[in-house]
Amino acid sequence: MRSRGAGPPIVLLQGFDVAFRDDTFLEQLSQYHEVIVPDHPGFGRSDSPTWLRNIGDVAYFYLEILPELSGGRPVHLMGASLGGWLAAEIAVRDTSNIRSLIQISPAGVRKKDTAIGDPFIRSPEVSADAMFADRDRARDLRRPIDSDEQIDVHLKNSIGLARLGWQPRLASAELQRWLHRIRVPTCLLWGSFDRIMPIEHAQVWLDSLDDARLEVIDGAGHLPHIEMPEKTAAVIASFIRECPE
Amino acid sequence: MKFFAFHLMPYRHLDFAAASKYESYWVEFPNTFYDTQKGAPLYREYIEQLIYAAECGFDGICVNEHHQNAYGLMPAPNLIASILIDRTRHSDVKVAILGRALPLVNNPLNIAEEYAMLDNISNGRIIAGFVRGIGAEYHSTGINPVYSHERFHEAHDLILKAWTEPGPVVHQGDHFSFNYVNTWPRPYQKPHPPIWIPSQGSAETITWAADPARKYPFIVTFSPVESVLRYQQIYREQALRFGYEADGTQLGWAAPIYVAETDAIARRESEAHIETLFNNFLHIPPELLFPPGYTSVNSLKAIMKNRRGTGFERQTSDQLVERGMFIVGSPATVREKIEAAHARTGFQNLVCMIQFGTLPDPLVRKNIQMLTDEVLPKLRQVSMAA
Repeated sequence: MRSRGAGPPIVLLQGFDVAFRDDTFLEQLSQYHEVIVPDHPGFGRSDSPTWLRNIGDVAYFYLEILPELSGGRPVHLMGASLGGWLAAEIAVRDTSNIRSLIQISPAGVRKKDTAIGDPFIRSPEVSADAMFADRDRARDLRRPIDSDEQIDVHLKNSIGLARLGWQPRLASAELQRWLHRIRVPTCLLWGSFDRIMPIEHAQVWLDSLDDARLEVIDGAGHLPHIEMPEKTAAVIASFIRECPE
Repeated sequence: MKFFAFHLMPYRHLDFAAASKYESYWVEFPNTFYDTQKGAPLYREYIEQLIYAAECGFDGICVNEHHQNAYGLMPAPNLIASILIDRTRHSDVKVAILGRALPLVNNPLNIAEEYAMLDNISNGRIIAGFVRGIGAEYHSTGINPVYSHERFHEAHDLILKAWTEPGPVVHQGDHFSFNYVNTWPRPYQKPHPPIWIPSQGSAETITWAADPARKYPFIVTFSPVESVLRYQQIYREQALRFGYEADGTQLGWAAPIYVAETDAIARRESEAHIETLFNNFLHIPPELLFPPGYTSVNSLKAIMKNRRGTGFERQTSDQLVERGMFIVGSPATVREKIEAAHARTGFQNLVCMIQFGTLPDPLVRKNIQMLTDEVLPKLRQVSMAA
């Protein structure tokens, strides 16, 4: 788990590939917030417990530890990609500790007959490139996977992602039916050149959520917070400022 | 020793020049490459090759299952097996399905039923192979590779339950649940058809197969001869740890084999065809071959660091021969190679892939004829003497 800054807490649920340089984004957010970035169970340096079978298990796990993570304070729950799916699975179950939901190109819902980028079928390098609008910048923003420990983490994260999201691919059939239970203010951020989770998916979220807005990050790919950290952080800061206390 | 003729039924008329812009012939390789006019006659050609092998004296003929690729046109091997069973009905030739991929189905009882039907239709001449399917097939079928081992073991237990326990019985598992397991027909062979485990080898699978409750024959496929013998040796050692001595009938080797008049002729006639098998049909990038969880993290790590061998790098015919992945030569050469390997572990099942890659019909038939005339009879004497 990483944590930096001070102020009203943001819990950031990461995507599955953590080899990207997110320092600028975290630095921006942590000017006004305590930013808490946990490793999901079955990912990173966390254990892979036997109770972990599907996304619902991870959601219940976070519901149990959320008060502890934030010292009992309500949080702005932020998720990117897989983490966005997870944030929604948490929020449909219980929002009593959640002030707002910030979703960066979240996985989790399906749009009929719309293909998503397959994170499993290409080499790690090609998959990483596909996450960015600007493929040259992708090379700068991704740490090389060469040490033993980095290979371990990469393999573990791939298995973790497959366990939760192999089929249906990065979505749960039930989630969309219950999104209306999320009544906290929600901000969806989407890169206009998202090749993994095409921006058409945003409409599914907007159709199902009562209090949601879409912020398109022009020229960004699937990870706008990595590719355009200042711009993305600014949009988030302005959304949070408007949130009711 | 028992000899089996094995077929993958490749789409050997593939337009290789046009196909070369694709990295592999699996999963995403467009099915528009399949030309019905060329493909349909292959079924007849390949079935007749297996029947010819049975008539020439092989103890058994074998089919197998692969999905969505140009490498094998047999996604439903039991369909072919039922034809082979009928065509060999006046003989005692075995028909081996090597095998059905248990984790890839959502109802393993379908496999229990189909095998039981084939066992009855053949009056007990089938061998039931159980496999996990290769990694690429988890992409093709959508089955989660993380649960591949769990599904394999649970499906196996369920099928055994269906075959051996008086029905109806209940099955409540992690992946499959049935209130009424009551499979009709029951298998012809008692307690059930022989179960074979074809595999590229892994310590966990060997330990599982060698368990005294199972003693399943373990058939090592597509591996250098030294790996084949090492896995067979591990099986023997594991059996000893379980407190019994493994019989040679529990060990098998599956490999492409080609025999001709002389070593030079055999090499010349087979070279281009064996290279298409390993370098074209079997070329599979690691992301397809090893989806997450299909193998343990440790094996995957070793694979990532050392991208060598089948599926990864081009191998010339010479290299394939040198590694003992391809048994080729005059009758004497081929006999000697098999005898030398047999002397090391005493395996009693040799599964001969008599057609491989683009090998055309006349050469396949010559191969079958020379194997059964000049190689197998002498090997039978050797193994009988031993």
